[in-house]
Amino acid sequence: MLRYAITRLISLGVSLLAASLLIFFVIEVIPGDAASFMLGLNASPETVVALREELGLSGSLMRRYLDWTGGMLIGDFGVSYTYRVPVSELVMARISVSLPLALYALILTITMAFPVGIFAAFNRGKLSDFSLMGVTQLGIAIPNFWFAMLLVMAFAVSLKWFSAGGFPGWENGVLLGLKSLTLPALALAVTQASILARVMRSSIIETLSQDYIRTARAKGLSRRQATTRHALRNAMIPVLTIIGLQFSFLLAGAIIIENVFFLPGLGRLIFQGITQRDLIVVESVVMLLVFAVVLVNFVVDIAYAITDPRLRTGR
Amino acid sequence: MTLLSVQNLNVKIQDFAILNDISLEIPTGRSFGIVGESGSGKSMTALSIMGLLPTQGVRRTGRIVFSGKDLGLLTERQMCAIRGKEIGMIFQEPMTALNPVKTIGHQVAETLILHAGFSTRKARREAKERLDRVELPQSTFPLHLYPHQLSGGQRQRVCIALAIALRPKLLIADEPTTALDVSTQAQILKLLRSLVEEEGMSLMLITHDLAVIADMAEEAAVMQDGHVVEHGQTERLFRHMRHPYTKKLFASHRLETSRKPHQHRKALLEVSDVRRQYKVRDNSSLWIKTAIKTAVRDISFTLFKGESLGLVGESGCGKSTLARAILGLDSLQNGVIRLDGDVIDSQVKTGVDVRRKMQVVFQDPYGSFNPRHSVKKLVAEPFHLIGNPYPRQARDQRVGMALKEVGLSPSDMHKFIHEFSGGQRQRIAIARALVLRPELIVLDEAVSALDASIRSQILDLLNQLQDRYGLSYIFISHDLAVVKAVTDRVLVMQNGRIVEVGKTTDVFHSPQHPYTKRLLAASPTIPEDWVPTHDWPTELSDHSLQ
Repeated sequence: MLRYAITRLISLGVSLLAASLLIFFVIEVIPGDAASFMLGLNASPETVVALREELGLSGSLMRRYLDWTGGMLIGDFGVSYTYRVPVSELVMARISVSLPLALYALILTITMAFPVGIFAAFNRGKLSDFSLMGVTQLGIAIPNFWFAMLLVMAFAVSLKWFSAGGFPGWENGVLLGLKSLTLPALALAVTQASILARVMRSSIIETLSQDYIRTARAKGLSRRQATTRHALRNAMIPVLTIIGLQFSFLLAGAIIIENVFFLPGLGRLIFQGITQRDLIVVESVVMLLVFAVVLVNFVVDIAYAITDPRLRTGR
Repeated sequence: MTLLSVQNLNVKIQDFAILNDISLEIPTGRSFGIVGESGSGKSMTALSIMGLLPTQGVRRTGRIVFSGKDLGLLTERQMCAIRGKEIGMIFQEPMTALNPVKTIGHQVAETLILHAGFSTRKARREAKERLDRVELPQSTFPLHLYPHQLSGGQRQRVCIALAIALRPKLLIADEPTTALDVSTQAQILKLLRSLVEEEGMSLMLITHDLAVIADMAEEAAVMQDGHVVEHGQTERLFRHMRHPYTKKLFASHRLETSRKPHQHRKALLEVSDVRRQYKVRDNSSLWIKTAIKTAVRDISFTLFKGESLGLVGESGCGKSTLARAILGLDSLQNGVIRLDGDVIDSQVKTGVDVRRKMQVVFQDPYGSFNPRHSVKKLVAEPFHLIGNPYPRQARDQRVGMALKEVGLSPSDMHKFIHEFSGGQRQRIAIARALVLRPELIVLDEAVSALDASIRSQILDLLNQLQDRYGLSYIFISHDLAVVKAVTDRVLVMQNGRIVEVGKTTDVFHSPQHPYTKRLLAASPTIPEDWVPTHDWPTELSDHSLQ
């Protein structure tokens, strides 16, 4: 197990290194000067030179890469060109919205998907399975921004249970913060839960046809016992993969939902960074997201090993 | 006294009759065998007794009375209480029969906790004792092992341990040794026999192998197409064979092929001092450690033109590794392999002329074809090897001819593989091997997955093709009866070495090496004096395609 964890950790480090090199070279080395790109067509040469100095674009390639990565290691991501504040501050403020939102959405996803997937698998071929799968089909098909607007109309406009958007900040109380994230999390979770429920269902059905389930039944376990004791854990292996992918997506891909609900999240930050040509923000946030995704994959890998002993001991 | 009585059992799945009027009686403390080919309803009978038939679209009539209880009248809950407690069952495929994510201790103890209400501690203690009983001592097989850390035979022992954990009155064993090699089979059968003798258990043994039935069962039933065609005391059943199907089954079991001995002078394949090693990673330690495993140790032999050479040994002895080396799939660490004088080496790109001279047929007639390709495309595949030299028409013609040679119709080339039975698929595999007119065909367990009657048809076909084209065969099999029937010479392998080589008849009649003797002793046989004296009816020698 330890060896497995260490090899995964090494692969995590290598992924990060490769990603940082790629991001750095795409932005720095590709033809076109970052400073003049950021300033637009009508910038005077002097401002460009000044910005180049400020961005630290004048040193050698190696030096600039080391400065950038070294800075990130100690939490210094540079200063945003448009906001004129350190990128780390910007990012921290945004993460405090995006990370809870992603986690919240993931928890909703799992709590919706697992019961639905298990129930549908258990009643395979029956009307209940058919209708549940129909609902998940719909859940995948409906664009989540549209669903978000429906949620706003129902729960914010008509029932007035939630606010229609915005984020009050955590300093006004955790409950209030969570409340304002509920509708966006739900809007995000519906699509993800629909996907996950379908994966869960087919994974369980596949597992239920395995020989060891027959062995369990021959031992005298009821259908339900055989499913809960022997099928679920085996069925979790493909489900874990999907959960990992979904969390990465929820963290970085919530941009449309963030826009619908006026949430100051990471997605919006990147989007603004791109439209305002703030390469420093873009570069740093992309790197941060890569880090998050790689970290999630690491966690998923460890979860695999906990679920499946064959990975722990090697074959 | 009768323990289990099946009376007029009929099972239909969606109006398709699976079992017709099955009646059986299994006495207490005896072994009862059911023999038949695949699809004859053997397993369905067992699953009916266990109440584990699929739930949808199944209609069951008739009575199954087990120690005084009519199982058909019980609720599902009551049935659960009987399964595992009073009737245990083990299955064919030990590799997949255990849950890969739970320890063996957990899986054995589960039965005890579930049925007998044991505490975890008591169940674990009992599980140790049960694993000991199936000869998996705690010192080498502690409870915390996972199934993947055990071999096939060891896993089958775990399956037996959990099936007998509560000392059931009846143990149903569905092809328990089919997936195992001869010596492991002998050990498992011995274990089952001792359970019947010492624990007073009844055994219902399902198999396709007549020799296993002869060896194990006091009474037996022969099944065909969902009917019991004959049943009775085993010895009497063998001596008399009243039903023509029993005779047919017996005839194909005996593998009397029409093979003529061949004169061999010219060497085709020369294997000299071949060593094959590979690195294995030791995953148990923190650091990356590799060990070198020698799978084939300095093997030399010559295969002559038109000769059939058998290669036998237990699983893991290096048979398949040697075959891969001969086919030029792996690089050698020492020695040289020549085919018709040309060196075969995976490092240097072996020439087209060499490659086209050898082909291979594998065991699994279901897994070795791409299901989305037409038969034409599948059989024509080897043409890629030689750079597609023929125009399409000539290619189709050759595919058609190859199909005809293996007893199929040229028009079959437009069909897909799922439209064929297992035996027909193996014919297609042979057609694919034949299409380039090779000189050597390596048959890696090529008939192991087939029923006896289909198997003898395929072996006859191989003999005919050999006569017609002077083909040489390397016949890799764990089934000694097959090797005995169709080869001229045989190599016996153990731990990567050839321990005995000689004419097949000599090796089988007077084995020299202790390992060969052990191997031969392990394979079950029908006693010579059980064989009926009358001749086989002539219409049975006429092998028609199924």
